[in-house]
Amino acid sequence: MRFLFFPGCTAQAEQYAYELSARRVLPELGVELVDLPEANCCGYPIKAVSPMAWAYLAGRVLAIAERERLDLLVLCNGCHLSFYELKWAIKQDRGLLEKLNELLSREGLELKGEVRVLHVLEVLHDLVGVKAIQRAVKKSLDGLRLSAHYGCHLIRPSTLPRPDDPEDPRKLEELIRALGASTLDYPARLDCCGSGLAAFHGREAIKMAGWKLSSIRETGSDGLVVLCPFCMKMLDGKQAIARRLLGRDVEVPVLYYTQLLGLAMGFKPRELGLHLNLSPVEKLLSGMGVSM
Amino acid sequence: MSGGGSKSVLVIGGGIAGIQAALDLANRGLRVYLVERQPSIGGRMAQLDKTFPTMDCAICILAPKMIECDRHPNIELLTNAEVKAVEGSAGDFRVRVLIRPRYVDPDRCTGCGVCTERCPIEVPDEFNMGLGPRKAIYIPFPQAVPRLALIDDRYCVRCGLCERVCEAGAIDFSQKPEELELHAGAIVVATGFSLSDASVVGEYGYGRYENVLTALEFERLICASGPTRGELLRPSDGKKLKRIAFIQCVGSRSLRPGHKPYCSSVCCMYATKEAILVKEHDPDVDVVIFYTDLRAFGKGFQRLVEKAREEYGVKYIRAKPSEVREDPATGDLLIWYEDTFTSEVVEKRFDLVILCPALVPSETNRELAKTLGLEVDEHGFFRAADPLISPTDTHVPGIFVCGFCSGPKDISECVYQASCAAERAMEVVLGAGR
Amino acid sequence: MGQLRAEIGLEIKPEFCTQCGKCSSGCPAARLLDIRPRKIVLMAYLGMEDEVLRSGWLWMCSDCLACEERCPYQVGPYSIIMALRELYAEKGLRLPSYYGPLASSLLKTGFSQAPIRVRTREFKRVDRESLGLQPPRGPMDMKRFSENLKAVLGGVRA
Repeated sequence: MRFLFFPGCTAQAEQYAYELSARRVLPELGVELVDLPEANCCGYPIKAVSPMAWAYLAGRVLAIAERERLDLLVLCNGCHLSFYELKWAIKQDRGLLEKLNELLSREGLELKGEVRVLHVLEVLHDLVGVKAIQRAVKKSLDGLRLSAHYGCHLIRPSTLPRPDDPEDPRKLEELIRALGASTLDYPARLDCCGSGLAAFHGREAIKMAGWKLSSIRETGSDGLVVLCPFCMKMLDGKQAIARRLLGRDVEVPVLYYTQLLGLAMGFKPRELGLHLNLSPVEKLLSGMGVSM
Repeated sequence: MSGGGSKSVLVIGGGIAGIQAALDLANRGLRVYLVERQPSIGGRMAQLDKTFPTMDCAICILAPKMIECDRHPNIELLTNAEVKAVEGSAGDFRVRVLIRPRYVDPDRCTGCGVCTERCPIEVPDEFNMGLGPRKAIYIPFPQAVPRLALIDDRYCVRCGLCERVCEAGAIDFSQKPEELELHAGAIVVATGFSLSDASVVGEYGYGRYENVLTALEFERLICASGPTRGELLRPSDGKKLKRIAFIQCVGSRSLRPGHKPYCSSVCCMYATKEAILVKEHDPDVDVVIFYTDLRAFGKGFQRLVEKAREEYGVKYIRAKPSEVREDPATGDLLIWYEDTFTSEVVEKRFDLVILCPALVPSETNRELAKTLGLEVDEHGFFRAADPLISPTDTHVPGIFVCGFCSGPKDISECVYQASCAAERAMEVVLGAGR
Repeated sequence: MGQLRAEIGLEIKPEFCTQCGKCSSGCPAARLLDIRPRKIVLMAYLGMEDEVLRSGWLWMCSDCLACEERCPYQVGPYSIIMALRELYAEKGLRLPSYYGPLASSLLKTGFSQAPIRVRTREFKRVDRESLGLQPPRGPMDMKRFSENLKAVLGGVRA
């Protein structure tokens, strides 16, 4: 399988561990990542205040993928929704597609909107498959009890094609169990990480992340597995501030699924960028008998 | 219509509507075939504990009518049976009915129930909505009419224990499905309703959380003849219930895929009724009804709501929860909600959450509609010739509908409509009288 | 009644709202801040957009989409909030400080932010290069790209 690799602005500009771990593990599972000769932001951050700017930015990426004749693999939930919403919008509104192509033609690009965009979760679960992942496990995570965070933009709105069910998503937990670990449910499982609020009401956003982490801590979980760089920023990166704001401990090891997968496949923590995680991942690693 | 054809009427469906229609027709001297898919008549009303707004014991007011049907010389009860084919026209319908075997001889069985005690196979009890067990050989419920045992062939392993203990020698494994050909001058359809699948509204956790139940499951829980003998104990751990929430309009009044857009008409009232029953069991239980509109439009309805609120302390909160979450450590349920009157957003913990799901026509309606040539609307309800002025006529002369199968309605409305349909059927069969 | 329209994207139907409150009940921001999606929908329906624009509520939405997902009438409370954000920008009202640098970065590099140095668990500083990652590849023809983007940015000022 070959995909154009679209990490998205957040992974590309600061959440380096996601890109590092994805580049390590995916080729081992038969997924070849092809670098885009050029790219731009998916447009999601500016979408609300300037829908046309969003449509142009998202459409431009899809047009580039169509020019390169390959489907896109994305790491970020927001990017995935952004592209799917644009694909839908240009189907609904031919006038929009015309306007976009009028702009894109000035750059020698053309948008049809037929290219597929797959989130790394879909590639791993639906294409590579649980069995192949099981076979790739060198170091079983048996004994670890882990919690899953899907992230809002991965599962909503269900009126558009989304990678998993909006009320009872299963794929991430199935992938975690494929590595030998068991999974724990928790009341705040579908709750938002707060990143969408971070730019405007930082304290409340961090409280939201803190509540989620708290809910996970209460189950005695060994760690939280995430799929999106925005979610990671909040859940992995803001634990100390959340603790201060909520007045209680919210420490939970947090890591990307690709990092977890890499550990199970026998990669060293640094190769997977685990030295960049801000949450106490050593606890998780020692549970596996591994050190940084 | 001349009165020259058959003087019999076929009634399809043995719930309160079918029973009422059958009695009205039989009392006028007509021969009635009452065909019921289940092994006993009684329908949904037999599953209820009490009825609104009177708070009568449901089976207490229903059973006398059920027994009257059984005893009436003009009524032939065909239970465990289905209508398979219909030909002909008003005045002269030829109907093929399939009677599924009970493997119990109705002439010998005394309904003593000893066989059910000896049977080693336990399966979920549909009458109790799966909350408790029954045996592979069973009597549907204590007041079943006819009071006969039957064997569920899906589970029976033919061990023969029932045969050995039956003093009446009523077990008969050689029984085969029986086909009957009936003649009827008119047909009255009263096939009732089912609950929609509440798991379609995934955010409320039905099917995932043990302590989230549908209202009909709860009705069985609170009923003295139910799986907990009427004790307010919750499914997950048998803990005594102290905090209960009802959520109205679950999968109804909703345009979302798989949901129903219409109002099911009776839920606001039956939730009020169930809330009062809870308070009568234990006044210290905290009962909350989360609603959007409180539909208390019938005679005595608003008074019952006020009674629930003022006398019993039932809390009505105008709020619609977005999600029901489970605390895995305890099985308790957590609900965040905005009280739309105060704009306050709070979280409350409950022992049990009861969902009032959309009420839908029986699954068999669409097929029956084809068999009879009737029209159904987009929701599967039978279409009346005119909902206002011919509410029990259909587009097929000689075939009439009544009860929930033509649209949501409460018990008293089912009874009115049943008598109406019976009267319409009588006109066909007895002639115009001019 | 309100004339609010979502030009691009998911449909909004404030006129279908029954004020059931399911949106507010599931809103994570409503547990911490004043925002009540239910109220915003009603005000949009009643043509009270200006009051909503002045209220500050628009910037309290965490973008979680729970209200959009679960509204029984598919009214689109989230989409209404987003349409109001667009209206806010169109009217030239002062946007949160987040948007200025965002627009700048997009126009300059094509991306919403430039790569930064981050710290490791051992409190060392690393960047893409030191981690062995290639530099980002923005639009090949930056001039035409930024012209195009500028043409569609609308009320957002870099």
